[in-house]
Amino acid sequence: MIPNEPESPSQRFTRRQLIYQGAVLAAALGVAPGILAACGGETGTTAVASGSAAPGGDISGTVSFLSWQGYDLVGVAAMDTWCKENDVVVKSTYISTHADITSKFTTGGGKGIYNLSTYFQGYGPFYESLGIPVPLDMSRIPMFKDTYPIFQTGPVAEQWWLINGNQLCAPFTWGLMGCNYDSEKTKAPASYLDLLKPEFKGKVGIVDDVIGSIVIGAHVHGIFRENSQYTPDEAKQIMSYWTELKKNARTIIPSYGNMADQFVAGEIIAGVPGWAAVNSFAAGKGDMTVAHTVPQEGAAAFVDGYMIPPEATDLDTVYAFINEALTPEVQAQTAEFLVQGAVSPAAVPLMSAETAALYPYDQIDEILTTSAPLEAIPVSVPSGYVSWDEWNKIWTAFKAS
Amino acid sequence: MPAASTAAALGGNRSARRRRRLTIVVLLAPALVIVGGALLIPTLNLLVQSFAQSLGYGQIGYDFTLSNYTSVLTDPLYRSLAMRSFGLGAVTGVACLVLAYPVAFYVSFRLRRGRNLALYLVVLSLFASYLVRLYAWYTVLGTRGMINGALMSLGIVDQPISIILFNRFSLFIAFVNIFLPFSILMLTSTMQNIPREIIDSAHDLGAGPVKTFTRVVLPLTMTGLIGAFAYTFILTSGDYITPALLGGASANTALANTITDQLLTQGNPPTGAAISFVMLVVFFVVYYLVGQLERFKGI
Repeated sequence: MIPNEPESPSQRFTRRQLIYQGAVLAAALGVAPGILAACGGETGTTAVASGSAAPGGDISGTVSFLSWQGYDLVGVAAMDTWCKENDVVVKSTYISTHADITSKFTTGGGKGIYNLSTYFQGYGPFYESLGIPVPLDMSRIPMFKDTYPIFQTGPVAEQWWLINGNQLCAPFTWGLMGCNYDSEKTKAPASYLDLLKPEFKGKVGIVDDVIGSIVIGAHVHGIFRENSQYTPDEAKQIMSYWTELKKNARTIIPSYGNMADQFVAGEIIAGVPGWAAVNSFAAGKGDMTVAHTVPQEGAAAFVDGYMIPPEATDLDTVYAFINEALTPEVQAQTAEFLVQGAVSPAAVPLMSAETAALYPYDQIDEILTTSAPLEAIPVSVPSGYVSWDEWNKIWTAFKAS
Repeated sequence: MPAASTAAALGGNRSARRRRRLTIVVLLAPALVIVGGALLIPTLNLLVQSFAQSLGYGQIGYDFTLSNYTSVLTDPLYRSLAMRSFGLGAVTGVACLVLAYPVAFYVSFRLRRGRNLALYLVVLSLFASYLVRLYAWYTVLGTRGMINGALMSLGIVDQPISIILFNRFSLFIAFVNIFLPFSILMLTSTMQNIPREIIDSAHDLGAGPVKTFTRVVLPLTMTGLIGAFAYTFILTSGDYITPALLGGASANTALANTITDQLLTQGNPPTGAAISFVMLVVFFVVYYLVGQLERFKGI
């Protein structure tokens, strides 16, 4: 259950759960101040979210946030200080699934209420088609120019957040999900197929993560596609890996936090789909031997970005908030706080050695384009391909078998 | 009594009744608001959604359809999971009754001193949270758990045995552990309400211990048996956390897990709602059928 490699909805949920010890839906009601007119009332994809106040003016106001707990950066010391100094109030409503964002901004109830949200890159094209993110005025987020180039321009950016020339979100964090293993009991699996060997019998944990499993299964068979469109025959191929792996599985793991528990308890020596953050979770429980690797076939990855939804108000405040979130100091602390990757290279030297070691910052281009290319959530596929509902049913049948 | 006095008395009575009604309404209002707001309205919302259409990830179209119910009721996967969930619920319910009945009987009819202490000990086991108790089973049944530790220390096994965790057995053990105290309390409560005179009368009329039990005690405790079974059956069948944590590779998914999957992963609230209401109907039917046992007059 839970978020996925990149971040399947459920996986996202569990990630937050494990990070914050219990994903409770906070009821914080971010009721945005009234109907302060004119700023950003356009909902089309061509209207840019821009306010009337000049950059550098008064940025005090309210950030009405709708997304995962933690992504509002409440608890990140540098951000808390900045909010206090600038009289910025963050009112957050936390989600339990990415679908909450979709429903809030499509069926109403969210427009005009929230002025800041996030999306996982896999939803980029889908949300663009729904007209959810309002294109950002990047002149008001100057720190974005200091992020890794792959987040700013090029095919990756153009596929997921710089769509049709419109910047739909500002990436602020990313992560990598390959395979976790106990470095004291086994060497790093060079291939996902290694986990099928007899020495792993009864020692593998499979995380209940639909998207991550699709991606990794596709990598294993060399049929990975960024649009996540697979035929029924290809789906069978993908699932054949998991069916074989299940013969070696000790358990199917409900969340990445629970994967760390299973490593610590000695129940498993390898877990897949993995997540680099599991190393930290296990270390926090006293097990320093859990490591993460990207096997030769590749891995899943995710990038999350801040978006401004339709009819948002207090845009000066929101833009300033996004900009501040991209400063090196906040980025370094956010990486520590979320156990995820930073998008700003200047943040890396400011991190602890352990946090910096979680993600291969020096290979970020290669990772996100070749080893762990980003992928779409298959929520909308042409006929002849396996739909999102069908994938979930296939996965449920696999778990129940 | 003069007419004026009668009218005044009647008026006073009416006024007193009004005040009583008002008091009752005021006292009930908080509970009604909470139950209405936190249970009835969300349930009605879920019921409406179960007849709506999923338009894709997180989107709902409110055009009336029965398709969610037909797909849930006709899909072999859901049927198989339903059998698994309700089967486990029934087995756990029966096991809890079998284990709880002698304990409750002993506490109610045989234990004179220390009855309260015994009940406190039963209640004590409920002080730990549900999740903590589930995680505790890792430390009992796990590879490095107490049982494996003891077996290896005694030289009975060389390697930890893995078959006692992450399967239906560990699920069953955990469920019984969780619901046995409730069953004991319910049965004890029922048994303590049986007047001793009735049992004495049975003896006086020549009934032996077996006949007294089967013709007197058992029928009189049927309400507790029904309640304890229904409670265990419903909560076990509807549980999704225990299978996910202790079910391992083969028993990690129950019907209730598909509800969370539909709502949290798939973004398909209408189907999740339909599964919820199918389960609710099954619970009502089972409760009704089991309730018929109240007519039981003895063996």
